[in-house]
Amino acid sequence: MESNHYDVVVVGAGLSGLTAAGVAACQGLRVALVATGPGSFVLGSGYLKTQEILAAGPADELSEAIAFFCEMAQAAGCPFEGQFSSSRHLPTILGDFQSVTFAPRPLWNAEPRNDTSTAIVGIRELSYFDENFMAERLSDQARLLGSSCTYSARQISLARSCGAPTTTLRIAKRFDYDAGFRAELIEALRPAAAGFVRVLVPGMLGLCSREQQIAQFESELGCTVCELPTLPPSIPGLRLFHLLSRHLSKLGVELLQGFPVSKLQIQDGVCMELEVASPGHPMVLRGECAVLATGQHSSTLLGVDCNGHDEQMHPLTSSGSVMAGNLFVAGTALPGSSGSSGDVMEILTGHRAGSFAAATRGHYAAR
Amino acid sequence: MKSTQVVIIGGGATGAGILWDLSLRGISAILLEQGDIANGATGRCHGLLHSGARYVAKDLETARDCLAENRIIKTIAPHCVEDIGGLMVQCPQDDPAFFEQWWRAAGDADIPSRRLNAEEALALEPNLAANILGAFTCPDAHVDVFRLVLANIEAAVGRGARFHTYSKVNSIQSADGRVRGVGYSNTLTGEKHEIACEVVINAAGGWAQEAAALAGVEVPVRCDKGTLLVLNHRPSSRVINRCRKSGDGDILVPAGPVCILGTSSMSVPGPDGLTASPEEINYLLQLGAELIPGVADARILRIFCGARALYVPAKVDSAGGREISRSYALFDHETLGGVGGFISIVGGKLTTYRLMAAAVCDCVAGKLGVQSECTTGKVPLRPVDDCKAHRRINELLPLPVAEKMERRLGPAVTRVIEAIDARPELAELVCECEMVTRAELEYVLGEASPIPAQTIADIGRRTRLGFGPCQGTFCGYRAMLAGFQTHRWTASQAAKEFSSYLHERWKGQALIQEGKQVEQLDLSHELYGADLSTCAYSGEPDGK
Amino acid sequence: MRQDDFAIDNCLKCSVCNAACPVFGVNAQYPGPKQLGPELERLRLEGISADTEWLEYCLGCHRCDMACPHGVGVSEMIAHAKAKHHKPLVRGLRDWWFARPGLLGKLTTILPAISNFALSMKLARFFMSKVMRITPLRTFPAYTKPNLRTPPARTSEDRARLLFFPGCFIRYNRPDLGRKVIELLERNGFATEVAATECCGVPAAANGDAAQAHAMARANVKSLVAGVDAGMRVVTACSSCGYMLKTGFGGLLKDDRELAPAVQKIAASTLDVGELLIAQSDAGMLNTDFQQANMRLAYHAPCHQKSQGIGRPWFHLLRQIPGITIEDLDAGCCGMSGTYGFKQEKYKISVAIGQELFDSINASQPQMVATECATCQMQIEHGTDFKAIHPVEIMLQAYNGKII
Repeated sequence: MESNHYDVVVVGAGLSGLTAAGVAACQGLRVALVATGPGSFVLGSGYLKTQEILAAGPADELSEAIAFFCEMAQAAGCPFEGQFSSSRHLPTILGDFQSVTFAPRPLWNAEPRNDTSTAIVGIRELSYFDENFMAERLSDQARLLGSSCTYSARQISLARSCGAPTTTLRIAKRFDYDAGFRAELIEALRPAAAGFVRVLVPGMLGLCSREQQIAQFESELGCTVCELPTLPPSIPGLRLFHLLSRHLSKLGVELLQGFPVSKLQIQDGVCMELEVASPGHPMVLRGECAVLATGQHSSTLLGVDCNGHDEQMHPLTSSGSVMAGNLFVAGTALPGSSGSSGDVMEILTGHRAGSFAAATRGHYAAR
Repeated sequence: MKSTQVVIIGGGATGAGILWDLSLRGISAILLEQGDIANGATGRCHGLLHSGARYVAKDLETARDCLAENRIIKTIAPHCVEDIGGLMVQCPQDDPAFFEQWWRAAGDADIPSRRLNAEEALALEPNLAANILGAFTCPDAHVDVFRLVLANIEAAVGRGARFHTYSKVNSIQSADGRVRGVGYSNTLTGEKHEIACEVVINAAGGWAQEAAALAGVEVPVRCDKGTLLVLNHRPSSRVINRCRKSGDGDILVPAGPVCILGTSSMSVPGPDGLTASPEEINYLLQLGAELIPGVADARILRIFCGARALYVPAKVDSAGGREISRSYALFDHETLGGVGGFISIVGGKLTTYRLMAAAVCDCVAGKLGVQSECTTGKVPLRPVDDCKAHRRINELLPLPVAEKMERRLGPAVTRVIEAIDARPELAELVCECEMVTRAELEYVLGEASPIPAQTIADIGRRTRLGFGPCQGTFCGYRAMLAGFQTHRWTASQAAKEFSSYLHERWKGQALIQEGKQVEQLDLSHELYGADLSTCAYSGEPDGK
Repeated sequence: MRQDDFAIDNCLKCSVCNAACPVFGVNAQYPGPKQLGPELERLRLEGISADTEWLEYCLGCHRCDMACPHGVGVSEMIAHAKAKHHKPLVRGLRDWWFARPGLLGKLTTILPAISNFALSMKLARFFMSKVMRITPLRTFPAYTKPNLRTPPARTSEDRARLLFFPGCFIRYNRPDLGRKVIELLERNGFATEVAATECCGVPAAANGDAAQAHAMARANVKSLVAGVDAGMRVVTACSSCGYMLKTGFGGLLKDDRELAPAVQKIAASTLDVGELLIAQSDAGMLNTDFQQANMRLAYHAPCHQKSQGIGRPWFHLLRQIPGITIEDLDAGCCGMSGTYGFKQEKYKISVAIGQELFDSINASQPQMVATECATCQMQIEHGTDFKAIHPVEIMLQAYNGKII
């Protein structure tokens, strides 16, 4: 097959795009994922919200989509926890609790647990996370929730290895590549963690660290370590993005990062080509079908003024007809979506669009 | 009970100017402001330091006043002024006869101006519309309104005057036909206070009628709403005016890193609760694009409205906002209404604030029997910068940070130097857009600053924190933590304060319909939850 | 209004650029692309001097641009600021030299033997490290006689003609590689002409020498435009040269009314050798007359290859050779960035950045590393015990049956 010819071209690397690419790749299709940077979920806390759950369509489809996503995340080394029947209260950046249904494991364990003592550990060189603020707020808010969980503030210093001031991003990068730094972090955390069942730290445990690495970190420290949301960029969000990208790449997905799709060539109801705005001259991709998961702010840039979509996730023109039989739309690019990233709707629509796209296999091959 | 000779109501440019003028004359005074500095029209204008160019054709007297004050303010407060110059641009849509009329009038008013052909004008400002016919230069400038008000207050406080923010005057006591004092309450804590005084000056701008009512008199003021758009960066390096009879959307003022496009004019009942309509915004953008086409695509950071408090002489009562003179009026209510010691100052312009203050203070001095002359035109508002401090701050901080901070703080920069010397980590940037360090933030929050910030928004007015693209989403959070860490707020007070700050910032962005600021706002909503429900309305008690 | 004046308006301050920046990860003080680019650019437009030495520490890898979800041309802003950055005398002098690899090439190749000897001499190395602030820990690539010429036409058949833009490294250090490129193209039915070009200008831009970058760009446009106008395509075998040509010399000439149309045409006509060959392959026209090989390769994609937005042509081409297994290392930037890694004050950063790549090569244990960029090759050979070569050489060997 031609190198620029794909079964499915997915545009956008948000939750919906990554899911759609994963669905298609798992069916053995040749997939390209074109994106300019990660989706906006890397800025948020990393939680999956379920506010839209009632409008989300058949429950079994949703659970299938979430199950698929969780499996993919697990395989990527970034497992999610949670189930539909229950939700947990997880801390927010302002020290409140938010009801969350699914979250990456290191975030999931930060819920207020009755009668447990928890240390919130801040870092002296990291001024934009305040352990005292968090401990005071979370203790208050846990009380309002009727929990007897107590939070105590502890501070450590990483002056020997990090400059002051530092950021969670710098710490996460060191965490990734510097085993010596990880050891030092454990040594610094050990006294702060003494006497506590678990410690809460700002999200900083690596941009690419897989589940095993975090588990090893915990076992060396001898207690549960959870991450708390911080100002963007969210380290757990970036971690999810990096690990999912690598995982997709391993599955054979061609990642084309850096330049936007600037043009869709639609002819007689079929999307023939996609042009990527590379410098000099465009890179032309031919896909048997394409999934647009460009997010709510850039879908119109492609001339796909999405006026709705049909049951098969085909975007509709203003006259209500299908724009192209092999063009699908997902995520916050969908009209009427909440526009909020990190929503389970993104995964649901990504999964659905990816499945429909994969099902067109062969239909348009004759072109 | 406190006592003083004079109480001034209103902490805008006029009130601050009066406070400084009185302090130079040795008259003791206390200024009471219901919000923070420059809370009203002063803080909601485009910050144009008029050269008179916009008035020559209509009102030569005001134009001359503006030109004289323009020169004085550039001399006494150079740290508040960006002396960027301005252009009066001739657009093909406008009446060419006006261009000639303007040119003659500018000569009559002695406004230094050069006539540029289109090519010359475009060479100076390449982003101007290609179809312009030419331009006249004029010595317009941008004045940082917050810094100007602060500079007046700081100078006055240095000479013993007092200034209270968040102090709303609830009553004016009088006896035997003379004012005897005022009662006020702190709008943050609810505490009530009284001050005995001999003179009360009503410099409350849009709230002048309200203040006058406390003394049982009336002032003829009408509020006129102006809407302004803040653009993320400067498409021109000079003030761009449209050479025509003053109208909507005919001015762009580069103001620090941003640029302000204004304005509209609409009569409103009062200064509170102003908002702009989408039509108004589109209309302004469309007009702005006639001057600089790129404006149509530029990122808008924020939209805000201010209420000009215009003085309305009885005979022009029916005229629209633009027809009412922009000159000021002083009312001595001893003769007009029979309240001795009560003076109202209404109307006028930011550029002529000093002149208005001088007129008021002459009147006050007469009442108090003080022999004095106004010297505010000669005394610099801020002592000359200290070379040693200049060198040191440049060693401590990278260039743009040092430069920005020095311009903002002046001699007070030594305090920041001391703080960073003691704790080097304070050199960290809290607001990356406006280059505000942690040390500067702690300084404006602390008691060492003449008018300590009470809220996160106050920090912004003193440092420009939160005035950049993120509109407080990132730096506001950091400022909140700084307030918590310096024990100004408990954790729940801090979260509450941040929530109300953020809502205010969101309000100014909510009217923007498209472009990157919409995405920025979405990001902010997502980060904190669009309703910030739990911390805003949790029913938590106000701290412990 | 110029479109790029709006680029700063696109920044949402999300810091994804900082997350992608190789220097940000290894240097705790480096302010990062977000600040050096859009944040300071706003102040520069205000007229505030935002000069800082950190500008010199930008690698010019364009990873920030590639990661930005909002299309902010971060590195271009940094490059513009770098061009106005004021340097102390010695670093200025060194960087003046570094900005002109062509000049160094021309001088040293007059008498290559002597200058190579001098480059390796202890005294000279002492001088370079103590006075010129060039790290003594690296060896300079040897210079040779610049004897790359257009080969005489071998057949009379009408072949598609290409203009080969060799770049300084091939012209002055590895003309043999240039000949291999020409031979490879010939085996695929192209007739290749060596263009009489100057340095592409990447070293000049990277060293903040805008005047030199401009001069190079102008000279190159003038020497390429006739061929391009005649319908010839330009091929490059160096990722940085290719990036420079495709981006219109980094946007340097976009305000030059006279040259801008030619610049655009050249940008549109430029192809990386791999890009050309993969297109041939897609059209079923690649010469697949490969001998059976037996080799395990690791592939490192140079940053300037990634920033051309052409996918991974060489990765897919080499995979077509029977008996070759190839692993894409995907281990970030190598940290060399042309002359950057030679600078004493940046050497440590350079090596620290490369560590991830070195580790992944060591883990992969290939027989050889394939990468298009000459300085990536140097860095890999500096940081590991593995040999790194241009994929062109591997493919040519596959035709010739010389692969182990």
